[in-house]
Amino acid sequence: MWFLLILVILLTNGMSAFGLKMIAAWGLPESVKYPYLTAWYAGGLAVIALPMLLKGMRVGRTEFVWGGVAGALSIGGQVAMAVALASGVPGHVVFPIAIGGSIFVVALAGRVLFGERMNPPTVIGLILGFVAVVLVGVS
Amino acid sequence: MGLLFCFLGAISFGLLGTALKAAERRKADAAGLVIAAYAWPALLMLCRTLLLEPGVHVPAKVFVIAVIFGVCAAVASLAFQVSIGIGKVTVGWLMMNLSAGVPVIVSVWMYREKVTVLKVAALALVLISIGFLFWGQVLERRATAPKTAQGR
Repeated sequence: MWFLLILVILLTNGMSAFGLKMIAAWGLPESVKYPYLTAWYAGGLAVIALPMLLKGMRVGRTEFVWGGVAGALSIGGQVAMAVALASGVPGHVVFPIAIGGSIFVVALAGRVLFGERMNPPTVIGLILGFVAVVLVGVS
Repeated sequence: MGLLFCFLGAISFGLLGTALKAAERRKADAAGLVIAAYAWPALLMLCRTLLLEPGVHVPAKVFVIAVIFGVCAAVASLAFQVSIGIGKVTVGWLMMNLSAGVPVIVSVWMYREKVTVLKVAALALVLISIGFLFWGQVLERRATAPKTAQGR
């Protein structure tokens, strides 16, 4: 089950931001990204919400609060990167720091807050993965 | 000043991963969490769209790709949230970020982007890293399997 979920993450998550690149390639104005993002979030919302609604399930208070926190942190990260880029820091510096740094923060939280222990292959995989993410950001 | 915002971005995204794991520990329903996480930004972006100057033409193809990639993102978010209930949040979060290698390959194929040594090295490292992470997971499963069997 875990392997299948990871495969789904690898195939879908990376491609989720590809649309902005396509819009840039089509030479459309910058303002188009707002209706694009509205439809992007609405599409994602609908694909998860519709099956839930059909089953008669509801979003509880816990999900509503934590989902709000997640949404705020996501927007906060995007805004911070946008400000960094606007202030003249090149993209090949902004993306590796922001993305690589987030992996470090999550790894630290995983160990300290959630008591996650890792075997040697996982540690090697994490170190190599960290370097790979930084290189993808730079390239 | 710009670099400070880079680190703020890192902390913000890192806390996002941490918050999602904290929600999982509080038994938050994965689908409900994704819905709430998408509803707020959808509303925010809708407000921003309505504030656009009239006359901005948005071709239909923009909405088509937006829905396709939005669905991809939601499926990935749901898979991530379910995966951290089974495995480690650090590994799940790294996989989310390693997936950035996929659009690099698609860009090379679709837009005939130049294949540089750096890109090849990065993608090779992505594959090696995934291999090690999968190996680590297999070892962990083997180590916990006898304990589970004994517990029955």
